[in-house]
Amino acid sequence: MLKRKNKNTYIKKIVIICAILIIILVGYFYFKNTSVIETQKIYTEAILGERPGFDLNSTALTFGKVVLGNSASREVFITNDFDKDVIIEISSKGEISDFLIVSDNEFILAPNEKKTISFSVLFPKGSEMKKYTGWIEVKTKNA
Amino acid sequence: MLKINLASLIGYTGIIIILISAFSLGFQLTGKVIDSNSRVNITISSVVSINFTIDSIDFGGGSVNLGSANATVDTLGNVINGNWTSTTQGFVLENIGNSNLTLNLKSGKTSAEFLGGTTPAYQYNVTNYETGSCTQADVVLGTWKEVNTIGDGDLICNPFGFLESANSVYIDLRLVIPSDARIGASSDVFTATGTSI
Repeated sequence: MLKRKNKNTYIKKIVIICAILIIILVGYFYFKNTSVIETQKIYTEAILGERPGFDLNSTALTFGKVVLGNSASREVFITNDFDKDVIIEISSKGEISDFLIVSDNEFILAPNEKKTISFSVLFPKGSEMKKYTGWIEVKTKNA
Repeated sequence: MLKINLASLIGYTGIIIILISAFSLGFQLTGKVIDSNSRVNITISSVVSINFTIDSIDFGGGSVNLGSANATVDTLGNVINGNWTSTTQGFVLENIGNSNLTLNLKSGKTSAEFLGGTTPAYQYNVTNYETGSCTQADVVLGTWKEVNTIGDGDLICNPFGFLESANSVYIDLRLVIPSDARIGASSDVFTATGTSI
């Protein structure tokens, strides 16, 4: 009898914990997803080479060839065409992301405000000589 | 004491999930109305800046010969009035993209900041590595020019071509090191800026 009571208490605890976890998870995804208005992706690429070189592709964030221990920079202009404040959140994906540096992140843009963001790629000594690719994700969220 | 069996517990959990999902769905439908004509516009700049460190052209250590006012070292292999190790390692800069560029060069330091002493010189010399790569702009190709630290520096090529057989230039450096130059290691960052045209 006592054993069964203990078992029930144990199950109840597990269920309560599960319920709390589910509520937290659902709440997290709800707030995360509903606040995002749009996500834009920009392909990005840099080559770690023996000599520096330019690649000015206008539709992608290409840095060209960068020499070990040195860097390359390129700017991106972000303009808010909404008639309300938005939050801009920038993240990077892919193997290039370990070497990318962004000048500003998670900022608020007022209507018609334009902001210049600088991206730099820097390969520290010991990096493998090859092409590094990935993409930048620019998320627009309700402020 | 409230007794709950396993089936009931699973049921309650299911009900909670359904309620939360419905709640979430309802809010999504009413909360995500946006003006479909508006958006955040993203434009990628037509300019790239590439930095390269001058200590990577390794002149190594050395000193000005006794009795000489200065020594000259360059990346063409010349060492005059000094005992630096000669080097022929300048920079080759390429345009590996698919459009013509303008090419600007600037340094991070002036000759006084880089070397110190009396009348130092810190100069560069751009030549075509592949014939026809660089159409001369404000600086005469093949001549030594004192570095420029202001703005984007000097406009070197207009255009800097992208064709595979004509898309690279050579950048050599020359230092005139006074006998009273600052002692110790010096380094600087050169910035090449390419702007799409």
